[in-house]
Amino acid sequence: MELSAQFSIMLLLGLARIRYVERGAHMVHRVWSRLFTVGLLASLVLAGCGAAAPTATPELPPASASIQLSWFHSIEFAGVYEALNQGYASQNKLDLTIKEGGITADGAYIDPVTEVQSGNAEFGIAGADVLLRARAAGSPLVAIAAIYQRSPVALVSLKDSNVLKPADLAGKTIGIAPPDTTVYISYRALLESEQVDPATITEVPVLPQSSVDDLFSGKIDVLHAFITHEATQARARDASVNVLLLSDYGIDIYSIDIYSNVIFTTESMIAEHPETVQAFINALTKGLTWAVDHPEDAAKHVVETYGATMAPPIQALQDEGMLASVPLIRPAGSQPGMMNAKIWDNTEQVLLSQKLIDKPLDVAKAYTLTFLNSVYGQ
Amino acid sequence: MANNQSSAAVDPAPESEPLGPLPIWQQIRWGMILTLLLVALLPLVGVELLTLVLTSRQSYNHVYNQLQSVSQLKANQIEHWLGDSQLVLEVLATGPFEASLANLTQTPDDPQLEQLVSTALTSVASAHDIIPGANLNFTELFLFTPEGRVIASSEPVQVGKVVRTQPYFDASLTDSFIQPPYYAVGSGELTMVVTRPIRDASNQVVAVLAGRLDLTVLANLMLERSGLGASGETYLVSLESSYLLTPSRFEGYSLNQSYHSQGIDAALRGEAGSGVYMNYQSPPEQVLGVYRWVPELQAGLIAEVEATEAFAGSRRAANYSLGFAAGIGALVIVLALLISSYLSKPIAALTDGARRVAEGELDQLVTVHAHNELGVLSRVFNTMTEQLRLNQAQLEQRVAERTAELEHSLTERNRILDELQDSLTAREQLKETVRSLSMPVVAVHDAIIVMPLIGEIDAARAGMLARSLMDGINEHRARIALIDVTGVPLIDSAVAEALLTMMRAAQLLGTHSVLVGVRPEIAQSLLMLDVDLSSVDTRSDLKSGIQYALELLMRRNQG
Repeated sequence: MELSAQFSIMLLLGLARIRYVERGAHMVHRVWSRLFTVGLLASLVLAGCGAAAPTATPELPPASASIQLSWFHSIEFAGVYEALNQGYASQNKLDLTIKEGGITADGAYIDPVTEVQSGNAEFGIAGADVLLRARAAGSPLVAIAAIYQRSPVALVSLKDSNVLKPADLAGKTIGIAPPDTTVYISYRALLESEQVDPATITEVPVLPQSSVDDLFSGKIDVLHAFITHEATQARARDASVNVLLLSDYGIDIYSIDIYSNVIFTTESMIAEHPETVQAFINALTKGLTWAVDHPEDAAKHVVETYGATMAPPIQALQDEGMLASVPLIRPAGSQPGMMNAKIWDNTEQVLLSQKLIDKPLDVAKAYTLTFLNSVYGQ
Repeated sequence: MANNQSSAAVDPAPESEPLGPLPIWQQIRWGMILTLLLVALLPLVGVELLTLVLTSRQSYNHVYNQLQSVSQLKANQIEHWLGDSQLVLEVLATGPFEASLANLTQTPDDPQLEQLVSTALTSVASAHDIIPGANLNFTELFLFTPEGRVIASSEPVQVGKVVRTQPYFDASLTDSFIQPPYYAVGSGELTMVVTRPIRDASNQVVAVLAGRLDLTVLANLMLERSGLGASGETYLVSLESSYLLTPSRFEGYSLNQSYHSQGIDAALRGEAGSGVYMNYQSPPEQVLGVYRWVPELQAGLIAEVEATEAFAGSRRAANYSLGFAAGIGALVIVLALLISSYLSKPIAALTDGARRVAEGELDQLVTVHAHNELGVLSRVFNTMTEQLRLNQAQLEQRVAERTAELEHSLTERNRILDELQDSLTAREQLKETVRSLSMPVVAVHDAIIVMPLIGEIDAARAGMLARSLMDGINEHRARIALIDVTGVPLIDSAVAEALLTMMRAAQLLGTHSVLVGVRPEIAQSLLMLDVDLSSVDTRSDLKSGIQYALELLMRRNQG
């Protein structure tokens, strides 16, 4: 009995070995060793977490910083969320707090520029135009990265309105964003560039939460939109809507491509805590990369974390919105977070042209690529 | 324990091997089974392994070659597709439209000219037979100025747009260019563009002719699965984002997602090769993959077949041959059991018989119905046992006989001893008789006794003579005792002393002793002996002695 048992074990081992060989031993081994490595790393990380707290060296305390978002939680900030979710912030010894923006209960806009200037937040998000205007007004703010490297601003209209090119806007009623916003400035730049007379257009202020409804109810013909937000909502209701991307135009002033959400901080922050800024940029660029590498998961995370405060139709569209923002966050030939001098100069030109600033600025001081170049080894 | 005890009881030598059953690993039976199994299975297993390795390698090579040729084919098709696309631009730039294009570049804002060119571009874009046999489709053909403004297009709404921020713009101004697939801002669609600059007489770029490629052609090309079996697929992965450029054949894997696997990562490093690895799916599926770098698309081209399918043939062969091996193994085990029991049973019987013989049971015979050496051995064993038994019986008989003989001779000896004892006793009695006979005390008259002495007198006899004389004196109330020494051959000094002592003893009893029969030679010797016989009455013979006695009696009576 013992012998036959031994023998059957030998036979089984032989069979197992054969199957093993056949299935590609090295791969199986790799998988197992990977699993083992993962387990080992996980346990090391766990052990490290347990051990790190009491033994943290006093000269390197985790820096804490907060970022003031420019609007309500949405996939627009997915890269920021993933910098936290994927542990990139803590890997860079950064205790990051994310502050939701938007409009308060008493109708006031939470202005990231004010928040950062007053020291309520170390980092803020705003359009490049906003930043330049703040600098023109004497605020020493500096952009350190861009979330969207291409402008998401678009004009959405129903198919029947037949707005296929800027010239078609003449005679239309347009639901506009507030006049001092990036969207509105871009829109005015388009009209100027494409020689559309603003007098032929009826501008109607709309509320963010009801603007798409206004488009479908016929209250307006054309809507100011982000391709990642209102445009996806409109497309979801009717796939035939026309979406006119503003960055496709603008020959005389390069293109209407104003950064809609650069991340900025103060000059003093850069001077006094460059390591914190670098840590933040390290985490942010990794978060952005993760988000565009896994757009569906990133959208899912946004819904899971912040979905409770979103209207159901908007919640359902985070996925499409995220996919639409992928080419904005990582356009062909560029790296997440990167900024372009031409676009900054362009923005200055737009602002000058629209007399939103009085005189030319030293635009090069309004942004820095130091931290991004450090990430991408340039 | 019981075995040890019994064997110890049987075997006087404590250090010898125990006679009990052997441990299993020392038994011939199991040794034989194991040996047979090894002899039969080792080569079998070796051949099996070799076969498996060979069939596995063979099917790997087969599938690998197939994937390799599919991969090569698709790479060629991509190359042709792109080449044909560029050819179309070339034909447009140098063919019948050349003049119209040139005119438009001179006056880009001429609506009539724009209309003319756009119509031409539309007809080319929708034509499928510009190049016979080429699977061509442009979603859009357009012309833009070196400043980046679109001045003519097969899609009228595109006219007036600016392409300066498009990734192909800078490269398009220098030479023919293929823009690898990228996601366009706004539409969010995967886009691929081929461009060709148009130069004037001074070789200045005056415009760029561009074609937006229909990527469904590429997708269909990659999804075409001929030669890939049931689970095979080919797909493209972009370098920049690791996104799929062409759809996965499996459900639930969107293009816009970063995918990684050994094959994908190797291809995106610019390597070409093959391997068995886990693919991009979740959970990962093991695949046999062939990968290569496609520089025109800045993408990896991957051809994969699930390992289960790739190795199905070799697995089937493996299963068959393993089944065969298992069957052979079972057969060998059964055979080994049969043969070993055929051989080991007689041996066990013989061993058992020998053990019982060793324990002394000689009447046990071993029954082995084998016609081979073991049969002979068992018959010889039985004969040997029988012989042993006979020898022992003879020995026992001889011992019994010997014992009987010994007992008989013992009895005889005892009898002889008794007899000897008897004769000794008789002799002793005789001697006594003789002694008593040699010392008679005879009363010849009242108060006269005669004691004739015959034979030699030693010390012992002298003692007895004295006692006998005293008894006779008492018995016969004798007053005179005549001691006749006629029959005594020799009187030495000791005898003479004894006689004197005797006569003095008699005197004490009041009896007067007379020594009679002193022959002359005796008298002579007495004299020579220097014994004082002066107090001893002597007479020459018994007659004169009696006479003297009688005289003495009368004298005493008178007196």
